[in-house]
Amino acid sequence: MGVAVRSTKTESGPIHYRYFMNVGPQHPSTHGVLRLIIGLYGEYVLSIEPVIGYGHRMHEKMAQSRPWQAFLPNTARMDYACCLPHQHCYLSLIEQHTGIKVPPRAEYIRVIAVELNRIASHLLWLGAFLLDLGAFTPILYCFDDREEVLDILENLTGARITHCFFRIGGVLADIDDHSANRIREFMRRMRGRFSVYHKLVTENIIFIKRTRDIGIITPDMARRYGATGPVLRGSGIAYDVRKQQPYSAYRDFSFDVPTGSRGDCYDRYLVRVEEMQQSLCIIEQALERMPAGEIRAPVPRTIRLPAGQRSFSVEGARGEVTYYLVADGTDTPYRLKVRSPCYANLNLIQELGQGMLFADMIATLGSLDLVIPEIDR
Amino acid sequence: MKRYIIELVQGGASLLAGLGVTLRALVAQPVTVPYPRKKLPMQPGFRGHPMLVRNPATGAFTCIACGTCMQRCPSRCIDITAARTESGTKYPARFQLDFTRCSLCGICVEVCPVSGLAFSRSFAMPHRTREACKYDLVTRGEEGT
Amino acid sequence: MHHTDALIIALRTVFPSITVSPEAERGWHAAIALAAEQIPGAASLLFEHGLALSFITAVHVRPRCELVYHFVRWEDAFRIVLHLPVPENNTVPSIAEIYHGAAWHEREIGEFFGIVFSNHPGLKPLLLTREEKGLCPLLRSDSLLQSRENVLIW
Repeated sequence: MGVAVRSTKTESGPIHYRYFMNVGPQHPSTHGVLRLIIGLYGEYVLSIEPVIGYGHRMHEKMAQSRPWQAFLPNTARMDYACCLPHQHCYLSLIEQHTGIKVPPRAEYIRVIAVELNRIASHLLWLGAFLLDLGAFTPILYCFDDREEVLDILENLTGARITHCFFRIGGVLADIDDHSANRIREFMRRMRGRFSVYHKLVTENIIFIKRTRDIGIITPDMARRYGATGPVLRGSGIAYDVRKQQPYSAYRDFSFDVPTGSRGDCYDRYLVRVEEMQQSLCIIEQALERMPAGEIRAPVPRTIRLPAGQRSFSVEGARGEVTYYLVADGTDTPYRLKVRSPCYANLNLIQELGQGMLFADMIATLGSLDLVIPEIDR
Repeated sequence: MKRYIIELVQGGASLLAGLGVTLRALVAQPVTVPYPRKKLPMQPGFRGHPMLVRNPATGAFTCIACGTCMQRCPSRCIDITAARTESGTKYPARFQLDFTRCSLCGICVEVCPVSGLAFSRSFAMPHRTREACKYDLVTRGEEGT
Repeated sequence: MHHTDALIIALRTVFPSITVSPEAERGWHAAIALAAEQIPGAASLLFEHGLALSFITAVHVRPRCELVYHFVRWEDAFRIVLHLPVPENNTVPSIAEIYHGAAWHEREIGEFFGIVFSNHPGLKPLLLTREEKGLCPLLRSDSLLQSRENVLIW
C-alpha cells in the first residue's frame, strides 16, 4: 500500500496522476446522505474528505426555542437506528438537573428497552456491513432477528423505529408478564442464532480476508479524534460509560466490556457481536430482578430548569452520547449541545483511509457503523 | 506452502459451513409474508395517531376543547375550534390534526385532563394531496376509523 | 483515583483556579476557567496525560460567547471541562494540531457562532452551505441574551 503512495510523490512535491471521485451523497455504501470526496491513485486512496450536513435540521436551535418537553420527539430523530439511548440521556439530564427521582422499576424498564434497541441496532449494522462487503444473504438473517426485537419494542413503546417511550420521571408503559415472557423467548431464540452467525460470517474465509488487518485504528488515533463505542473498544480500550460511570440501573448488573486486540474491522465486528450477547445478559438480569413498584414518579405539571449547566453521558450503540445543558431558570433550555458518537467516528476516516485500497475503505467505512442523521443533527 | 494448503482446506470448509446454513434456510418455512395479500397482525401496543374518545354512556366526545394538547404538542399540529352547547359546556366543533407534521410522540394523549384522546390503530394512510393529511378528528371519529 | 491526583496536581500548578468535584455533581470532575491564549498549552497538557476530546461547544452569553471544551479519560471516565471566554477580537487559537478531531468541532462553532480559530487547517462551513455563511444560527438576539454569571454556574 505504501508503495503506491510513495511512487506518486515527485521531488517538486505535487502528486501526479491523482484523480478525484465522488462517493455519495446518495450511495448505498454511505448509509445515508454522506458524500466523500476521494483522491485516488489507481485503486489506492490518497485522501478522503467527508462532506456532511445534507440532513442538517439544527436540532440544537429547536431545543433552545421551545419548552424542554417539546424536544423529546427530537431525541428519537437523530440516531434513528438506536434512539432510546439519546432519549435516556436527555431525560436523565433533565431529571438530574431538576432533582426528580426515577423509581427503580422504571430504570429497569429503561435499561431493558435500551438494550433491546442496542441489539436491534447492531443487527442492522451487521446486515448492512456485510452488504457493503458484497454478502447479500446475511442481512436477511439479521432482519429476521431484528424483526423480533422490533415487534417487542413496538408492543412496548408503540413505534417500531422512532420510539418516544421514556417520560420525565419514568416510562410510558410497564413490562407485564406477557411482555417479559416474550422477551425471554426472544433471548432463547437469539442465543441459538449466534452459532448461525458464526458459521455464516465469523469463520467465513472471505469475510476474514476482507476484514482482518484492514482499517487498523490505533488507540492514539482514536484519542486524537475522540472515537468511542465499539470503534474504540475494537482497539483494545475498555471504555464503556455503562461500566466506567454507571448511570441508571447499570450498577446492578454484571456484564463484560468486550474489547478487540488489533483494532481492525474484524475486531470491531467481534466486539459488536459479543456486545449483543452482553446485552442479552443485562436484559436477563433485569427481568429477573425487576423490582415492583411505580413506573413513573409523580412530577409537577410545569417543570422549570434551574439556572446552571450540566452534562450527562450514556453509552449508545455507537459510542458515548453526551447532552450538555445550559439553563437560565425558564422552562426552555438556554443551550443544548448534543455530542453524537458518529461525528467523531466519521472524522477518523480522513486519516484512517489514507493509503488503503478503495474496496477496503468501503469496508472500513462500514465497520464504523455510521448513522448520518446523527452526525448532521 | 503447507500453510497455504491448510488455509485452503479450512477456508473451503468455512464456505461449506456457510452454505449449509443457507441450504437449511432454503428448505425451511419462509419468514416473510406476501404483503398486500397477507398482512401480519399489528402489535397490541402499537400507537397510531390520536383520535377522540367517546363517552360510552352518552356517545358524545369526552373532549372539553381545553386546548392543553394544542399547547403542548411539540410539532404544533393540533388546531381546535371550540364551541359551547346550550348548557354551556365546551366541545370541539373541529379538531384538526395535521398528520404531515405529527411525530406520534403521544404527548397529547398523555396530557389530556379528561382522557379525551386515545391512540388509533390505523397505520397505512397514504394520501394524494397534502390537504388530505389534515384530519378533522371530529368527523374522522364519526366515520369510525 | 491516584491517576486523577497526578493530573490534578499538574493542572493546579498551571491553573490555580481549577475546581474539583470528585462526585461529578454537574457531570464533570474538574473545571477550569482560562484565557484564550492558554488553550493550546492546556490541550497539550491534557493530551500528554492521556485524555481524549469529547466535544467542543460554545454558549452565547453577555458580553461575548464562551467556549466549552469537554475532555474525558477512558480509564475511569474522569471528565474535565475548560471554560474559555472568547476575547474581543473574536479569535481563539485552534487545538486541531493537538486533537485532530477538534477541527470539525471548531468548524461547526465557526459557522454556528461566528468565532474564528487561528491556525485552523481549513475553517470552511461543515454542516451549513457556503451560501449560509455568516448566518450564525445559534447566536441569540439581545433580548434573549443572558449574562455569563447567570447561566454558566458551576
